[in-house]
Amino acid sequence: MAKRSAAQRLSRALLYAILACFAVLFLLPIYVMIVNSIKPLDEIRGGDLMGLPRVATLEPWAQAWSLAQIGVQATGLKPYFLNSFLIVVPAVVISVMIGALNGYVLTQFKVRGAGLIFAALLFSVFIPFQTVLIPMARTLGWLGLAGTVKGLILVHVVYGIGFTTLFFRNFYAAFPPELVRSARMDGAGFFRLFWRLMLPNSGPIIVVAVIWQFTNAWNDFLFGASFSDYSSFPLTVALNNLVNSSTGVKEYNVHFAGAFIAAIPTLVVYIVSGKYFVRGLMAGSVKG
Amino acid sequence: MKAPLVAKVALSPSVLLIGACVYGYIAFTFYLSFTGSTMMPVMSLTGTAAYSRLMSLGNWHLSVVNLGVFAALYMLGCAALGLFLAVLLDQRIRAESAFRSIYLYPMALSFIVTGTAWKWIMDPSIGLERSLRAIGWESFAFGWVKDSDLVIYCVVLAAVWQTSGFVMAIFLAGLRGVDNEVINAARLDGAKPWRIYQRVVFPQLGASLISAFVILAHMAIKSYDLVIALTGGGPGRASWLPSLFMYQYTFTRNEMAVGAASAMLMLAASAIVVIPYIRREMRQDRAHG
Amino acid sequence: MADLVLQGIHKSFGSTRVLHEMDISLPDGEFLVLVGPSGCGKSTLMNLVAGLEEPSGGRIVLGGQDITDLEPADRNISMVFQSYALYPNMSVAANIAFPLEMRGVPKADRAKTVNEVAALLQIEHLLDRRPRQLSGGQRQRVAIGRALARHPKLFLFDEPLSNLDAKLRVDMRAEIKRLHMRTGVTTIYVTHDQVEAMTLGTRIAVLKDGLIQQLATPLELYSRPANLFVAGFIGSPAINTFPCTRDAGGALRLPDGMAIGAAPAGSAGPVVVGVRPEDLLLQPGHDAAGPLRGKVSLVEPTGAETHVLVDLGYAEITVRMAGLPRFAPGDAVSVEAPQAALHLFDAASSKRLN
Repeated sequence: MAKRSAAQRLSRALLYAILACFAVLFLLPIYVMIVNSIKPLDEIRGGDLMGLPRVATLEPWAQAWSLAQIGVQATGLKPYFLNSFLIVVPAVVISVMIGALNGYVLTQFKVRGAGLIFAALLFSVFIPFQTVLIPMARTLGWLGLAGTVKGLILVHVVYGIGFTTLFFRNFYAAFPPELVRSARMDGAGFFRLFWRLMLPNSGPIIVVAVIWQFTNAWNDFLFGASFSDYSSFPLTVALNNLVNSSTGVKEYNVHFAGAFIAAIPTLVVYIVSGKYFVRGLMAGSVKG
Repeated sequence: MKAPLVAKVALSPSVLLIGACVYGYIAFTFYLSFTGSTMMPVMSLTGTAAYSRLMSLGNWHLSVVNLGVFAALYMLGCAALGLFLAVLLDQRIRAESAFRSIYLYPMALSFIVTGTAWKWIMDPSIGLERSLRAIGWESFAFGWVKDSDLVIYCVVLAAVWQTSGFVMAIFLAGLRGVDNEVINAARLDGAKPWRIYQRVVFPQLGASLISAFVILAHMAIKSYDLVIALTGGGPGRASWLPSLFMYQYTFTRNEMAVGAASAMLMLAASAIVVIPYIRREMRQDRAHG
Repeated sequence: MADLVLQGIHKSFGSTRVLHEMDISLPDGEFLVLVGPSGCGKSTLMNLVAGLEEPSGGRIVLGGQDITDLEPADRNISMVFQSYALYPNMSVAANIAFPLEMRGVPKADRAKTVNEVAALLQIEHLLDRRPRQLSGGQRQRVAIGRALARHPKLFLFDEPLSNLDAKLRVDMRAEIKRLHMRTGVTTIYVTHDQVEAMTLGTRIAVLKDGLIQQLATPLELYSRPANLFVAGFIGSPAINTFPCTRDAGGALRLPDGMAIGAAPAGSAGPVVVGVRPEDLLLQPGHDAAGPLRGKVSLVEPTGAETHVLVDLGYAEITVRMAGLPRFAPGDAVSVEAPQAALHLFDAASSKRLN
């Protein structure tokens, strides 16, 4: 590499400038959300969506959280925030456990049709969910779970198994076979092998699967809109109701506060998990 | 080791659940599309009436055309921006992980959240147009989101913003997967940096490109949340996509058979893109396995 | 074709000095082998010459031209990499033609050169194939072909034979040597295998910890190693060494007290004595004059010769004998070490004394 010439220094500077510009573009909506969620309404209507608030107020947040009318009562987003947790946490735990077990069976045992089963699971991840809305609605009604939190948990588990199995199956396929062999020779049976050998060594992929499932389930809207009622709306549905069905005065600042509230859990997960989030994204795409 | 009974038992709930709730349901919806169901499912078959009706509906044509425009621009936009950012980040940047995190964080957000934010940013009465005019750029006009012909491009913009970070991550991994010694060989062979990318690196990005393509295509077909939050399908029905069409016709307009038919066509489109990809992955799997 | 001069070249990564200041002068047409254990800095040195890394100091002059500040592309140097580094998306012909293409050579001339090179390396039948369809040896030839196509002033080989199996390695070694004899291009060749070094190089530089231990012809390296490291590195089976003390009379005493020769004049302090396995003379029984006495512990017949391991009590040595084994484990033997065959090294500095 020859010594840095002026031309090279200039092109490096240009490189950073371009990257910074795009960074600004990418951060714009979040900036807009935060900044406008603490502005009084007249400032926004005065035409200043991009600027910092002249007078800051937390009133929109209070409105969004506990005072706005979304469902039948004016309860703000709080109960729906809770709903989302009640739906997502069990769904994540169950689907990850099932996915782990599936991945284990598919890679450590010769199951007839394992390839077909895996392909079928893989395909289930890609289908447009519009194809299952009608029968699922019927089934939930028939099971007495229509419009309930439990119903939504079931839905998220069913349609999450494809992903979690994918993650664990790829992970366990690369698991050192000598470890498994020696454990088997030591007499470990089906469950012992799973509990004592495979699971304890699955830390990274468990994190990836949990993060992915959490993000997907928390951010879901279609299933929430189709299968919940006023008592069981998840946060995304409540937010959409807040924003789109408000008649009369549009309280933009409340909308932005609500949007940010909805974004916080997955943003926190993203920031904290960093590379695990990326691994989850990549696991479904490029192999190897 | 051959599967003991307990292994098969462990696997069976998933097999049954997926079998029923994915393939069984698809079959059910498929069946419905050949019936005369309106508000509730009706089991008597009426042939392809629903499909004929579907094809005759202006709303469906609009939805399909919108999907075509949206998907094409969305995929091109994400691929181009994703590749561009990936190449930039591949240049041994300080604070690379900071930039990467910034480009990627939109993937952590719900489409409803980003749709809400972009909705107001793009609104001419309070958003970008108003702000830029206020600081002196009098002639700036960005009322696309209120314009029936242009609103679909707003959806494209918001969608590209959300997903390009993901595509960037795919390409960055692909770029980094190119053997460093091959790049050194090209340096010695006299290739200038841009030529190295063009002749040596990019041709090896085939796998990344295919992955990105498949994922983007299937996300485009599934797009629903973003449109609902950003435009509600409007103005009027100007930003309808097949996903909205299906929902509207099934649950609001009480034409379940037509809705089922539209869902089947959406599935067919997905299958065309996804099945070759899955087959390729399974074959490669067997080759390495 | 050019001579290469490295003046005061050194390289540090942060505070770690990977290559200490070194001067190397390589006349036109020479085949210099850089050899040493992993981490000795040979690959770093190679990368500096190629321009893939910047030196922390010093100049590189090729054919009279200072190339220190030039990009790799402008140095007119070719390199064959350990993994061959062929372009996977191009055919063999395109691979070989690539450096010519980058220099704007017209298509017709490119094709001519590709055919010439392919004929020289006997790979004409592979020109339309992709690298992934080739065997290791074939890929290696294509890599060499690509390096040849440019008629460079300097050839660099970075452990090109490490990825081949043993038989192929021997064949390719001969081919590379023949190629050098035909083309006469100045070459630097990196390897960790001292047999390759000895057979290929006109001169060898032994490196350790970023320092040149000795730069000499193979014969000189073998018969007059400059220090203990070089003595132990070159030659297989390795040289036998004994820590010895001087006595009042100027003789060198082995750990068991036997005298093994005269201490060199003009030095003080303990001495390490080295004797190559083939210079030792093995006699049955303990009566003969040899200063080394012991029992045969292991006999390793290799066909043309036999390696006999003898346990002396304070050390175990290896003796090379022609032909089939004449001793068995357990035999008492005495070993002679002729004075002329002794390599004497200062125990403190490891440097050669005689």
